Amino acid sequence: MNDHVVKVENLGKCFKIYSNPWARALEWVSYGQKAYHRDFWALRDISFELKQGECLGIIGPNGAGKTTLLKILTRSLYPTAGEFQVQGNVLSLLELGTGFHGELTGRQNIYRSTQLLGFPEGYVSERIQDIEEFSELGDFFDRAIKTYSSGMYIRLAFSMFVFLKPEVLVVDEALSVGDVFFQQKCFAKIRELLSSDTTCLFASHDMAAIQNLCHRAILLIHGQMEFKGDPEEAVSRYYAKLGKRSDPAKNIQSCHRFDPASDEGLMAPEEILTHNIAGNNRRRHGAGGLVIVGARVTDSRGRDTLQISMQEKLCFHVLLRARDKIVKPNVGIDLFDRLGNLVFASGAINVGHPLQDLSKDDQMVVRIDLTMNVQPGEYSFCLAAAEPSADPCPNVGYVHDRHEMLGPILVTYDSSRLLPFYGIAKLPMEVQDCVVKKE
Amino acid sequence: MIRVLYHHRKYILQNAWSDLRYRYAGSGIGVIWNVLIPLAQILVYTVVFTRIMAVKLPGLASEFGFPLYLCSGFLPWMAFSECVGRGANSFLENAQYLKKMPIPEQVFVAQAAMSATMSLFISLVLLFLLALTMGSVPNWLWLFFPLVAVLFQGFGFGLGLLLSSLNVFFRDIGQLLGILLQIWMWITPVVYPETILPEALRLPMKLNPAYSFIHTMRELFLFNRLPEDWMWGAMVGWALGISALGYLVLRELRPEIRDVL
Repeated sequence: MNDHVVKVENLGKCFKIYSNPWARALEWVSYGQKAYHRDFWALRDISFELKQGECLGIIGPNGAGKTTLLKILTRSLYPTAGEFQVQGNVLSLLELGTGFHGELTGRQNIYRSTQLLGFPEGYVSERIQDIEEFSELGDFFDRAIKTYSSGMYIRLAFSMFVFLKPEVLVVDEALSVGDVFFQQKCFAKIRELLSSDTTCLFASHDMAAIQNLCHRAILLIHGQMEFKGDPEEAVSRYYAKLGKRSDPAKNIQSCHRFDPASDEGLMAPEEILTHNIAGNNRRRHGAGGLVIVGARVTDSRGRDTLQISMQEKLCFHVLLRARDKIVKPNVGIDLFDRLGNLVFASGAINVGHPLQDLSKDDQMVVRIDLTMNVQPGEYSFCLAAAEPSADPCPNVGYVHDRHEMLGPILVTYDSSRLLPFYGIAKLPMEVQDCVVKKE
Repeated sequence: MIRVLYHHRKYILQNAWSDLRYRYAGSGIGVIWNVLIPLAQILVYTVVFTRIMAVKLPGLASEFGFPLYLCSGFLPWMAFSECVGRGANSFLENAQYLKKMPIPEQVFVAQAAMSATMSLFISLVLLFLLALTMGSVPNWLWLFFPLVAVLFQGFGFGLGLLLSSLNVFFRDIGQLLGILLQIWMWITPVVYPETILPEALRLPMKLNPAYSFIHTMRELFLFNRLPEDWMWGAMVGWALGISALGYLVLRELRPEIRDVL
């Protein structure tokens, strides 16, 4: 048996460019004696192999041939040269929602699309429950999809794809849609698929995602394979080749109101509640002895915002109430990036600021200042209140109240300037130098 | 090709059916338009030909003769013309699927043909009911009528297949086709009796592929006669021949079709 799930050899794709339709007619009439077209090689001499469960990243500038390559592998384009083999069923997120019919409900559309993709009906019936739950569409799942918002549409489509458990999954930029929470969910699901032996091909401009998910990567430039191998090296070669061209974060001027009262020190409980960002959050859990009543996020000048420049400070004002006697409480924050990675998490006690014990019905205001020494982009965060647990390990806490998936926080950066660091987060770093002259 | 179509049979059938169901979606009476529109057209032609232009039909004396004559030719023609017209446009219409999914091209032509055939069968049921209320006596030869209708649609499918591949490269074909189908209808005795044509035109008419189908259906339905043997040969030949030609052209052009969509 061949242990390569995907095998591509010297693959090439040439588009014939005709100046007008009649040129094509003339060429047909001359029966191949005369050529009236120009050749355009969108891909040339591409070779690679993938074993089961491997993830291949495909990077390159726009028009490098990434999508063409994926379309050939999903058999929606015919190659001009070379050969390829793909074992098992292939699903492509290129197809996200293309088979959907506006008059049918979400459920009917799933049956219809999967039929189009050649899945037997029983296979889908077994999974329809999971799809319904993952999509979080609720009642909308049984309504005509013409009533969907574009976000709901993507949710439905993505939920369908991940539960079909393809042997080979092809992802093409599709994940840059939806809000940051949905993106985190998608990446988590893709990781799960990868660990369950799904082979994945992943074309993206998102270098962080490539480095995070892929085992290997290829760099395409003008249809040629410039590099094949380690994803980090592929990314750095890509930058070396082209220079960093764009920055995902846009610098939008925030226009939040100025609140001089919170310039320094702590806010009063009422002030926190006037702009409570945690009020409607339903994703919370915990024992409930110490609850987070409200939270307000400002910049260092007291303006309400969830958007901040890189390396600037965000202030999280948290209002807590004890429903019981609480000993050695701890309040902390977790920060997650777009891919769902935990970037940073810490609490008051961890950073050497123990909080006072509370009696029943006491309120407490805690202010956490966090300097956003992270890459530009979207982040979600989580706020939690805890007590030490009975466990002897100091790193295990007894969670009283935890609010998941708050935000999103947008970290911005002026892309015309040199980034102060690369990677996920900034570590303390100092540089010294001295010039040694030739004697 | 047959294997591919069989593999996708469920998709073709369901899509053809939802085509009919949702074509008039949003209108008050929805699906019923599929029946009303051909009926209204028949009514218009009947009034024009019997009252205004006063066409006499030899052999069918009754006043109701003309509506039946008209229906038995016009309804199949409508379905045929829809089949060719939509079939020829089916690659362009479904470009979004073809560009992104590995579905065989001919599936979309088959879907257009199937939906036209389904609406034809609805109309044929109406036609039989109409005939019975007008006093026609059912004849076992009527059973051949749907068979011939299917052959006619098969011919339409082949033509659609042939034109759809070419239409992708030369989009003028789609525009031109509407006009050509109109002309074709008028050079075929669909709405007028063939007997009003001069003797000199009778022979060239037999070369018109559509004539053999329309003529046979009328012979079976109105006069309870089997057509001449060569007619059967002609019908089967046209349907299979054009479908085969369409498939060969598609096979030749297939690698490039998705490139230009």
